[in-house]
Amino acid sequence: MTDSDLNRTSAAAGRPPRRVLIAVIAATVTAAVLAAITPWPRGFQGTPTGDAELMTELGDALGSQHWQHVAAAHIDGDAVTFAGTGADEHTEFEIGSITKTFTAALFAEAIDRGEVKADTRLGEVWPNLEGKVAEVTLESIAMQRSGLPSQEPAPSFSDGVMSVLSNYLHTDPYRGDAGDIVASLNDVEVGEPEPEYSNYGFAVLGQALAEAAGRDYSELVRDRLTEPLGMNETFVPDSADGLSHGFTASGLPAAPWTLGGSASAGAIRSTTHDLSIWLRAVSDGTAPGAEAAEPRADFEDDRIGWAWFTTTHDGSTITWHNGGTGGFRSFLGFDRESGGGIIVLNDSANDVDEAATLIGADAGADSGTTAETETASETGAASGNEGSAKGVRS
Amino acid sequence: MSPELLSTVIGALIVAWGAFTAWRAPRATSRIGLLSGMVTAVVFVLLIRLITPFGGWESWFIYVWLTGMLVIVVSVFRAALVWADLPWRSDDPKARRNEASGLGFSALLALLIAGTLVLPGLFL
Repeated sequence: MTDSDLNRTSAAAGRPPRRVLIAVIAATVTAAVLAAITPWPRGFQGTPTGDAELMTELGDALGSQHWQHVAAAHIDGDAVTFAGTGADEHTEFEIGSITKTFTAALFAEAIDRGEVKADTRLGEVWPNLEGKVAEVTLESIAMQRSGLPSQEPAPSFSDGVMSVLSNYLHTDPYRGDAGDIVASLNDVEVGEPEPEYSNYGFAVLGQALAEAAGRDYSELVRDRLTEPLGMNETFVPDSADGLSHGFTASGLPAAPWTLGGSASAGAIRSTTHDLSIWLRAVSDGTAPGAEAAEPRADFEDDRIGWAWFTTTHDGSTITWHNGGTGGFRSFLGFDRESGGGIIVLNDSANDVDEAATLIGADAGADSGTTAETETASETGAASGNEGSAKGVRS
Repeated sequence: MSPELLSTVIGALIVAWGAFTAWRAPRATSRIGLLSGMVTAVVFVLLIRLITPFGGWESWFIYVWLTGMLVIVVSVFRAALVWADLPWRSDDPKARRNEASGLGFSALLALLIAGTLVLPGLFL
């Protein structure tokens, strides 16, 4: 400390009360401003809907974050219980990478229709492709071991810059359209076919299925999956106009993501009502392409089917996928043995994977608040389970 | 170390740096120098507010943030006490240039980050 510092400190000790008062006011105003910009951990915001017991258990499982709104569905055999805060079973959310389970179902469905085979190579879909990328099979993409990069290569330098900036501006980072995705295959470097989560791979898979069927991805989802199952609140948006937005983990508005040509990796919007139909139909094998959920290979500590992960913990086996966009996080998982399942959609970028612990729990089972009986599914011994968080983003 | 943890650790270091900058600001030899230090601290605070997930009460980052904010509040109190005793500009010509350019640069950055925080949300 210098002499001037010492002089100033001693001088400060003898300040007139008026100056001290001004300093106190300045500090108080600063504290108020800093408190106002702090994203305090808090519960979900808005009016509770549906089953109060389920909502309480969900809140306990997810803990404190800077939450916004949430909707959840708990499945116990044929009974579906809905709950939410600031949202209900018909509130629309971005489901992020849960979209990949729809793309995987379209893959299985396309095989059944004879449009592709599991080992169809990209070079067969697009004959102009050459080199290593032409040898990548659709099944290797569906099982996240194709060697394709994790993210879409930027179509141009400016798109690359904007994609990076989008992390700070909280906008959709996916710049390329369907043509860009296909064109990017000519320049892409293919790595070793080891397990590695790839959003780009599922963008390519979606475009390959669209090419094989001669229709675009959103039409395939509607005509082959959502309409047959009566999922009228589920769709692939073709533009961001009029779509609701979510929030970053610290509460800043985040623009809706439509993902352009990468829609098949994470663009679907849906509700807990519709996803409860999806979950039960996949779980009991009645959904088109439900065989996609069958585990086929190891993936790190888990198993993987086509898109679907399978985690065995304490003797229970959970089939699941989670999702994330700039302003949304989601989780969907089920236990075929017990017939239990959970779906959680929220419009903040705070993970909800911990909701996996509610699979098999008796959450809201006695209330029957919004129970439905639409499809039969297996029931069995309920047990607590824990899905592992993959931290994946679409 | 996971990318998320690394990002949070870097965020915590930036908060600590911002708090340290604010703490040193009252030792400036001029009001411009003091303001420069404070605005630099504001830049760090806004940057972290923009890019870092704060987590819940179970996360350690929120406590780093709150400690940093407490240091800034105390620094503002100290700065307000010494403000009246300071000249607007430093006597040394070189220091005068540095403190003016430092304040200008920090203020520009603060405006830019504050705009990034607020403007995108206005278009949603």
